[in-house]
Amino acid sequence: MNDLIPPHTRGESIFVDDIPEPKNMLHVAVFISNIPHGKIINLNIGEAEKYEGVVKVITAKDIPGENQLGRIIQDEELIAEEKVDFIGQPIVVVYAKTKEQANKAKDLISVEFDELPAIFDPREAAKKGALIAPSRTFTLGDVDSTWDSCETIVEGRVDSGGQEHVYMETQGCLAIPEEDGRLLLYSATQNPSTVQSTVSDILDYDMNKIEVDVKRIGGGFGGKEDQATAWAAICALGSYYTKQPVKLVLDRHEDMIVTGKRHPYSTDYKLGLDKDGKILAFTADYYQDAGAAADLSTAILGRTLFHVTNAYFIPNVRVTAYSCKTNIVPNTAMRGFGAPQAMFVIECILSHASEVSSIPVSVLQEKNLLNEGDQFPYGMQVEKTTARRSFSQVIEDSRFHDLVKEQEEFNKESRFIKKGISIMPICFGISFTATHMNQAGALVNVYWDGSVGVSTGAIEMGQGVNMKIKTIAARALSIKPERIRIESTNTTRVINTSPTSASTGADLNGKATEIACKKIIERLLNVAAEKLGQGVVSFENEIVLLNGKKTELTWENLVWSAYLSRVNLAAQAFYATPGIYFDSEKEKGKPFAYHAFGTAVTEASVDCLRGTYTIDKVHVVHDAGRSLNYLIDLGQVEGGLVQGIGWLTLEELQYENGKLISDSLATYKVPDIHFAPEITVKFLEDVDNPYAVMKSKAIGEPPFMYGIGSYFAIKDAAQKFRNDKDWSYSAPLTPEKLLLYLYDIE
Amino acid sequence: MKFILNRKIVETSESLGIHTLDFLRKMGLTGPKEGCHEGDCGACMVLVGILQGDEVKYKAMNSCILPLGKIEGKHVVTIEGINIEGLNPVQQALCDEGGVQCGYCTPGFVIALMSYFMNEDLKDTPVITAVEGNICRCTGYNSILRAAEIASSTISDLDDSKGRINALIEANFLPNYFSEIPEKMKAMKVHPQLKKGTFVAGGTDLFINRQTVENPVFLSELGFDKIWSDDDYIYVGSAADIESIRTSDELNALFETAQHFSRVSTLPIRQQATIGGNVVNASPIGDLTIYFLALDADISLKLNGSNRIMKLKDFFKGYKILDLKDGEILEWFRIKKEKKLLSFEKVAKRMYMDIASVNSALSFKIEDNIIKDPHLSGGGLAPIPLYLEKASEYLQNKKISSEVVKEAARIADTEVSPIDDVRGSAKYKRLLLRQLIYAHFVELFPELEVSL
Repeated sequence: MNDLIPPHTRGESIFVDDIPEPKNMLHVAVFISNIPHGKIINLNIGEAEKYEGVVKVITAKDIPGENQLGRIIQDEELIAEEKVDFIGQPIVVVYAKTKEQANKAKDLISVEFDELPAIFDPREAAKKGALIAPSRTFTLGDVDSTWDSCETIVEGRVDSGGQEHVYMETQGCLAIPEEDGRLLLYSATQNPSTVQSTVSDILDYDMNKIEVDVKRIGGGFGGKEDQATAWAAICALGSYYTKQPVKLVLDRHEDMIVTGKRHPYSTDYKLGLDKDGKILAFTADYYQDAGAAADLSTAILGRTLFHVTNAYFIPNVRVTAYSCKTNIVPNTAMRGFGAPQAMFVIECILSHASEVSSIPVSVLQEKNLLNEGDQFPYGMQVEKTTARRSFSQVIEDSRFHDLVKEQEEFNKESRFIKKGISIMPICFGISFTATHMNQAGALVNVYWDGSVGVSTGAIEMGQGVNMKIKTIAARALSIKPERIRIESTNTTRVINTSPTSASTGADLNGKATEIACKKIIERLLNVAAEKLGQGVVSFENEIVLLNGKKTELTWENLVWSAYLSRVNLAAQAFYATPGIYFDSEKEKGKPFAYHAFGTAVTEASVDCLRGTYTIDKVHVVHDAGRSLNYLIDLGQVEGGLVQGIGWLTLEELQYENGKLISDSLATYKVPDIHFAPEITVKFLEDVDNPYAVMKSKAIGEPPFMYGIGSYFAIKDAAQKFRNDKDWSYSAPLTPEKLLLYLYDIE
Repeated sequence: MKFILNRKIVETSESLGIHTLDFLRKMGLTGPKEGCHEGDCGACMVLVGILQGDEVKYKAMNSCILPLGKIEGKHVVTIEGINIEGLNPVQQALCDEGGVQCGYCTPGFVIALMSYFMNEDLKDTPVITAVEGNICRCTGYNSILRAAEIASSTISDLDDSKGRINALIEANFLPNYFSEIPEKMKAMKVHPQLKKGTFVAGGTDLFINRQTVENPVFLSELGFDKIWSDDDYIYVGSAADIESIRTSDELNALFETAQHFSRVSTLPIRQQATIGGNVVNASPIGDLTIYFLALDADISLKLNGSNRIMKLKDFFKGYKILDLKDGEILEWFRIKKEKKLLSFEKVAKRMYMDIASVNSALSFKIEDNIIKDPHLSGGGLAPIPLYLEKASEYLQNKKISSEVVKEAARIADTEVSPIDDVRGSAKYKRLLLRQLIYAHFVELFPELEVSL
């Protein structure tokens, strides 16, 4: 159980919009571009400035520091100055006493554009040289000389769509001015130090004048890694000018229009097999739709390249990826961070290769799974792989081979309802691929009454990182968890934090916490040794042991003694993942501390009369290392899986000339409770992971990719109805695409 | 206006057209969350209790699209008003089963489940239906369902003899104060509602995304919400809510309406949205419009003392244009009280809680395998909800066969003019219409081999 959950069920947990509003607080309305590309030739804000209740109206020229949001590449203005590059780009910000006044004043703003041609297709962008950064290529072995020895060669194209995060809490921030121009920002961000640093640059402040505090956020999924910053900056600017508190919480519709999503990809591939189904050679070109600015696209592109072979070993590989600049809102991090797109591609290719070679796809998968010591295209060798173990375990647990036969029987009898099945193995690298980001700090404070406060850089967003850290602290200190409180994440307590992302939150911050706790225990044991005299002193379950025997010295009086002896009861600690590196010239190295593995079997039914489908059941066998919390890890598997299924099935981002038209929860459909399959999860036993805290494994993102199995289970079922037509590998596989596959019409 | 908010009576002079969610949060009750402000996620759910005799009946509703005027004289319960000391069994089960991650949607789920326990036959109604109007982006729902089932099992032998609410108080599901609410409500004097202003039926479309109307006059309070019948007809008042229609004895005696409407919106919306709203909204894709078009319904339009009766199919003149005179109110619908075969089909991107890409309904009588009095309708295919006149005419007096079904679909295709939009391409919608016409016959005559 997660002890931090009960207040959530009572509606008592505080999110940004729940913080009691301070006196004189102003509200914000953001005037955005309604064209995808053009020069601003005339902007009229006069009427808005005069509107009742309006306190301040700002444009790009009012930014005191740098008008810049870009972190990796400085190519994105907070407020458009001369030119707009996408629909939804901020042009003017209005601060007013009420939300209604801000909105009404915003409606009085007018702008004239000189429209420029826009690009919406990443392939077209690549052709025109509109790239965010130079392309990158990963190579292993020698592809070109291998084609001749291949028995089967398949070539084709795969497309995958974007995905809206739909964190239930939309983006928001409350800025509170303090003395000396200092600002306190309650931001719904996964990335407080980036908010702090970017806002400092925008205001031309030193970082120490900005404090960012995050209690929790209502879901992030990557959407608040980089894209929470703009709204915090807009609030900060308002407070800077007005010296009043400012709050901006986007409504759902605004949020969907103005924030980036998972990147759509379009990929060309060629793959060769020998006669037994061993993959010999693989080449591909990945076109990533980055949107109008870099955001995290180049890092995401990197992770795509790291995951092109998923859980398989391919001896000869040459893959190139292009980050393409288009005129839509800059796309951003989302659970999996480019890896799902790559893993979907390789599974599509295996599906295609199975059709051509007549070798069942499960055989192709099994044959090519990673073995210990196999090399990834980026040079790292796989270690402690459970790819094969999870694969064979899930085949057995799900009764895969029986299911195939039972479905065959069913499909013979059933005219319109057809059943299908798929297997989805996953292999996901754990660590930030930007090596320097693999660092974290923790501050553990032991109060003289024995209660403990822990601060780290991790953001709680539902993934249970705070409970994991609490568990780690309780174990490392050997005290009852009830004594421990996890504090908000605050840039004045733990500094220079990496975002809580890349599944690393518990690994990095948990390890820093463990180190800090050990420092305190060491100091306390010195105090105990001094008190108890000769012998071996240890501490276990709240009691000091002398030569292994319990003493009278409990946690509480040990702590009090330490205080009286003037011993430091606060410890700060730092952790940096050891042994990882990457040479970006050679595109080789050891970018990951380790990999996460597992396999899913998915069963689906297709109604071939109506073109609708259900995902019936998913069996998962997952390697979570030695789990820190079973219920939390189970929740990450179930939740990640269903979000992954959503990406491949219902969740369709639709645009009309760069304008998002699936821009509300009425038109963008995420899985509901009826759509969620029945899920069974088994965690592998005896899989201690030496490379993460307390032998656990990161779990936030890997299960997302089990969702890819749903695509192939639906495909399998549909092809039981008809298989005389080429399959077009395009996700999401909406009911529309499916029905148009099942029937030919004019 | 006055109402009971959790434990206390609240009086306010706020406009009746503001959104209940915004009002509650302004009062400092931040348990209900804003997730979408259009009734699509359930994060803002509250219970709304209505006095019926000596009992209060509670419904879960989306407070984001609930005009404040609609809760006058009622008991509104937010998550804060559900809390007892410690956790109730629903909250406890959600914690024990991992049914909560970020916690933002959780108050809504708790409210939806409480509504289920307060109303439903726990043995007959699957608990999954309780939360079909709630979106959770974190958990994947399995843990929520496990929790709901566990909470349900703890009270499987609930003794309802002193009323469900009292039984739930005893089972520690509800705080004690609920037992005093009926008396409090009886004693509460409610102001008569406005007589002049804008007529509002359910408001589930009118009030989305913070849209509002000045001085709303609620048709349900004017008695337009009844369902009744005489010897020849079943009448449905224009302000009858969809859930009342779905469960009405009159309709279910003739058709499988309860099942047909199970995929119309979600329970909280069905309890608020009305048939009149669905029709007057003139959306080309309204589920109820399509259903009643295929039942060849009449409608009555009332102006001052008199009324005129017309066919529903003649009511739609163009995109969002109705044959409705200034000041006229849609009073009721009526259908002939006769047993007919009726099929309703709806395909949307998501099976539940979604607007159809195409929907269609077909009714007819069958005499010696001959189709009599057929009426076919289709939505999402034209600027108006379509009564498929030619296909209906074609089917009259035809013997059921694969060829007849295909020809009817072919004729129907000539009557439609779908466009590409967010719900699908024109090409897809045409294909869907054909498939749904086939589906009507496949469902009604499973033995009929429509060769496709």
